[in-house]
Amino acid sequence: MSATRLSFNHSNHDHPKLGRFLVASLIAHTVLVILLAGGLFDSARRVKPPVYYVDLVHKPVLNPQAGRPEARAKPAPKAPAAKKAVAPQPKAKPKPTADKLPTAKTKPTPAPKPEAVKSAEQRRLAAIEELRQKQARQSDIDDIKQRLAKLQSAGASVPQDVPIGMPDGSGTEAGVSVVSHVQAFIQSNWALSPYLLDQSRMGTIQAKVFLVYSDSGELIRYRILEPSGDSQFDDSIKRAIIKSKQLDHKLPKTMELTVLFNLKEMAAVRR
Amino acid sequence: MNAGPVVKLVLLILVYFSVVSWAIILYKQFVVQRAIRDSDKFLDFFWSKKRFDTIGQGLGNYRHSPLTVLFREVYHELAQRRGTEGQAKEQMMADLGEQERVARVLRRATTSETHRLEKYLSFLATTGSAAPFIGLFGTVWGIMDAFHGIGQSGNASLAVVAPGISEALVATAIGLVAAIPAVIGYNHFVNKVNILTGEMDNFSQEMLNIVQRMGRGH
Repeated sequence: MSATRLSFNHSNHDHPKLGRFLVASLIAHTVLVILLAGGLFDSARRVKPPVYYVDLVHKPVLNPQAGRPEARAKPAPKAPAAKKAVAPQPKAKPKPTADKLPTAKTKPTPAPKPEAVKSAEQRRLAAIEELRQKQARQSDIDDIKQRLAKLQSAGASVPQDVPIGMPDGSGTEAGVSVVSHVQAFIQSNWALSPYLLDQSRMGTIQAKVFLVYSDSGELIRYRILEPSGDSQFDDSIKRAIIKSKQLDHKLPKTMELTVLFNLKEMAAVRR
Repeated sequence: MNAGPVVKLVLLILVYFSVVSWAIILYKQFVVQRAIRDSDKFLDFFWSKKRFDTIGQGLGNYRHSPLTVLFREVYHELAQRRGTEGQAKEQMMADLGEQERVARVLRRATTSETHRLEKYLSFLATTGSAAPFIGLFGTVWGIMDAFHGIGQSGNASLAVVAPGISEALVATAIGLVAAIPAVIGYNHFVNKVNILTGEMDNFSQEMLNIVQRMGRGH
């Protein structure tokens, strides 16, 4: 055991340098920051574009066109269409005149020419054929009528292309009249316990209200022109008006409206 | 980012803490793992040999183990004594002071190796305890700034208040991001160093026993 064999440095541990790890850590942090800034992990919290729903049916307009305010209330326009379908019937009526031909034929019998008889037979056959066709058409029309009546009673006979407007509209704008819109909006905010109502007077209770709304749909002022005589109903109308101080749509302009609130109608809509 | 200079400074400090902490964690993992691996191998090698000079020749294979340093110190001490005094081995080892000198050498080497293994761990401890508070300071300062801005603009809507507070909270988040790995790393490496220190203590006792037996001439 000589000292020369122990010549290695006992403090030599061959340690790695911390600097290398510092550089590695710095690079890792930089990469992480770049990834975060680049939005790699941002996809989860990316905000989806907002979806806006616009209620075109209830858009209040000054001059509503002819149509229906709601798709469900459209069976009325179909009635004229049904009438039109029935209309061709009178046109078919003159055809039975052909039926009369055989009876009329009895009169020209004094001229019994062989060719004329032949043609009379042909005419008779044609008339019979026409009568059959007419009967078949009539049965088809009856069938269509029955089906139409069924659909109307089911309430599903609303065509998709009925214009949006008012039944009595005469303007050109798609939408509902301002008065109807405001009335419907106030009614949606109306609440009254049926137990507080005088059921016997229900049909007669109604109040006329004067309302002024700004073009932004904000209630400026209101006044009950004709009270109903039932204080609870009047109070409920006032509460509904106050709740409706901001409409859900803007109005075409600042408007003064007179709206009639009928208890029976409002209760029916509520149901 | 629209944060104020104080918040930006806080964020820079926290990033510095995080970078250095992770560098230390990687470095310590590298060093401690190799130390444990080489110590296990060295103990197998040590107990398989009967001569110190044979063991001394094979130390190069286990240079990352702290136990090799202990053995080397003892071996060096014994060789120095024999080289300076030039006396017979029995006479040298019969000296009771010799054992004390070996014990002192072992204690010194153990302490030195423990310090080497614990190097930089204090930085992890500091990061683990201080980084959340530094981040909190940045957040408080940022919120103060945000409220000051709100007071000046006179608008207290959520759209005005929220961005400032959100930015301020980033400081706390980064403080926690820096502190959590540092605390976990510190506890992990302290545990490993304790294991290695225990191994060094056991090895020191074994070495003293061997030196004592050599002194008695067994």
